[in-house]
Amino acid sequence: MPSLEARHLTKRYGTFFALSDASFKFDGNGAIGYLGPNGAGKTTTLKMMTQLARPSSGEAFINGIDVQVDPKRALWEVGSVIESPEPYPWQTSTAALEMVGDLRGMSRAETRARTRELTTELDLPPMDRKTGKLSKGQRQRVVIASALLSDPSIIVLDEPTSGLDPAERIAIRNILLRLKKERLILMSSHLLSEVTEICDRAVFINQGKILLNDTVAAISSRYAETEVDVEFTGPVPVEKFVALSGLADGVNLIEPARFRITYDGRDETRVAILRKCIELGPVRTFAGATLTLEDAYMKLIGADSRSEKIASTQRR
Amino acid sequence: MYRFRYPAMTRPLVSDWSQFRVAVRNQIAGYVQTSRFWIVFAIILAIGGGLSIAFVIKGGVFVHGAFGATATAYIAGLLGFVSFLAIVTGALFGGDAISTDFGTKSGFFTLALPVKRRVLLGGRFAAALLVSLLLLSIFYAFALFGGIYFYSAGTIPWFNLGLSYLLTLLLLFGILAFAFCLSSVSKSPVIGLVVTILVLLVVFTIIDGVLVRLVASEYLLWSILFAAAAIPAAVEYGLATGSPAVWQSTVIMVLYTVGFLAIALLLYDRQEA
Repeated sequence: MPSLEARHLTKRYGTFFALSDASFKFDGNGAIGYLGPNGAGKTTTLKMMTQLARPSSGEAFINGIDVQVDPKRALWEVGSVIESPEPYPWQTSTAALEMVGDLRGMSRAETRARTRELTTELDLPPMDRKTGKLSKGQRQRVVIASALLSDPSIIVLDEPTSGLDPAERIAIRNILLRLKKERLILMSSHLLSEVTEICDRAVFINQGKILLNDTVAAISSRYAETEVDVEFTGPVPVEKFVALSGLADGVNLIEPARFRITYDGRDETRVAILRKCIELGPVRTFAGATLTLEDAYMKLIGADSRSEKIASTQRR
Repeated sequence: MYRFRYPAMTRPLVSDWSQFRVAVRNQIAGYVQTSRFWIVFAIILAIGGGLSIAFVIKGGVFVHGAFGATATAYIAGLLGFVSFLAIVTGALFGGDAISTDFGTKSGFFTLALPVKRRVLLGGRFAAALLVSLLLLSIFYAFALFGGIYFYSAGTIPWFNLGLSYLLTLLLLFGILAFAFCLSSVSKSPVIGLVVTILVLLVVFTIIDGVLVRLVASEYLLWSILFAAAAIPAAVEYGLATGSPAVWQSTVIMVLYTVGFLAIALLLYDRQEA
């Protein structure tokens, strides 16, 4: 069973902590989204998982093997795309993939067969063209192909769809959705919609610290439990919601017949709100607001950034 | 969907030796496909071929008058260019060997693969050495064929020529190790290349000159340029070569190789992409 583990992983540059005491462990198949703003420590973590950077302290394990102690064995089952890598510009796409295949112990026949398959799946550019002459998107697809070439059980991706057009993004998304059934995927991304669609778990990181590590469903419900969406069969004037005063903390108009009500999260309040809503008009649906990962991200990272700003203002 | 005979999780780990050979092969392919190989090739053709053609035009009488009655001085004369050619070759093939990985995004492509960095470095070094040796061998071939053409095969100092060739091989080891070391310090591929040429051709020459004038030639024992002087001298004097003696030259070049390659290896192993 594939596994990725970070134990108190820390990366320090002088007094600045790019990553501080990060720990996680992922086993089995599935996709994990690694989320955070620029400079949060996402790429630093992925680099330390793939021997591109050394931890100041802590350890990274892949399938139980310490990456620093035995990188070759640890990375044997890992395909990665970190920081928009580029093959050597003088190499053709074929030569670049053959080099990867050779280093990974694939026979030339295997490499060719797999390359043919990936050419179709990823719509790879002409394979006899030098990679230095390819566009950014074309090069990125060749690089993704190189990561998938040896059929690795673990795939580590750093913003894999950056530089790709929408059609290419969809193609990559579909591949990842298929792969995650049999592979362990750890991917960082700025695109929260992408993570919502692909990933089963999400890790939020900010200022080098992991803030949250949970399933996407759990995160959504955790941040949605104080909000409820009510939909009426027809428009209801907002003024009528004065009747909810004392129960609801706020009411937002989503559509003329649809409202989002914020409350204290208690079940009895929720029941009382439902009763009042039925009095306001015929209710079509009444359900907890399914907030997107984006909402949770903004609440968590936004709050973290605000508290940091306040702290720095107070320090000044 | 293509099914692997060996998916990644069951495919046996490849030996370091196999990966070393892959690194050598790819690096040589890289050299041959870039203009630098043809630049050095052109320089060697210009010096070795150009001089040979000039001598053929001037005729055997001129060559005999200039170099004497045997091929020894003729060959030694041409091999006087070897240290310059070795520096240019070493800089062009070694000056960016490591910095390419950290100065461009190619490192993210290669260094995250399951291969030890010392294997990659070893492969690149071997490739640079093989290509450099091939090119300098062409220069040796010009000198040798000129010697046979203007004199005779019987006058060729075969043992001394072989000794000189071995010293050239050692010189390439030393210069490439030096270039690899500078390349591991710099993040810019171009800077590694230019600095190698500047340091070896200009800085070393100036320091050597100053030391000879101010102190004594014994102080030159630190310089690989001084050691390289044994290459043409060995053609004429063989093992009896004086300053530097063959053993001195050998020791200097081996120390350069071991010292600078160890630093390059250490830095490459610890550098972060």
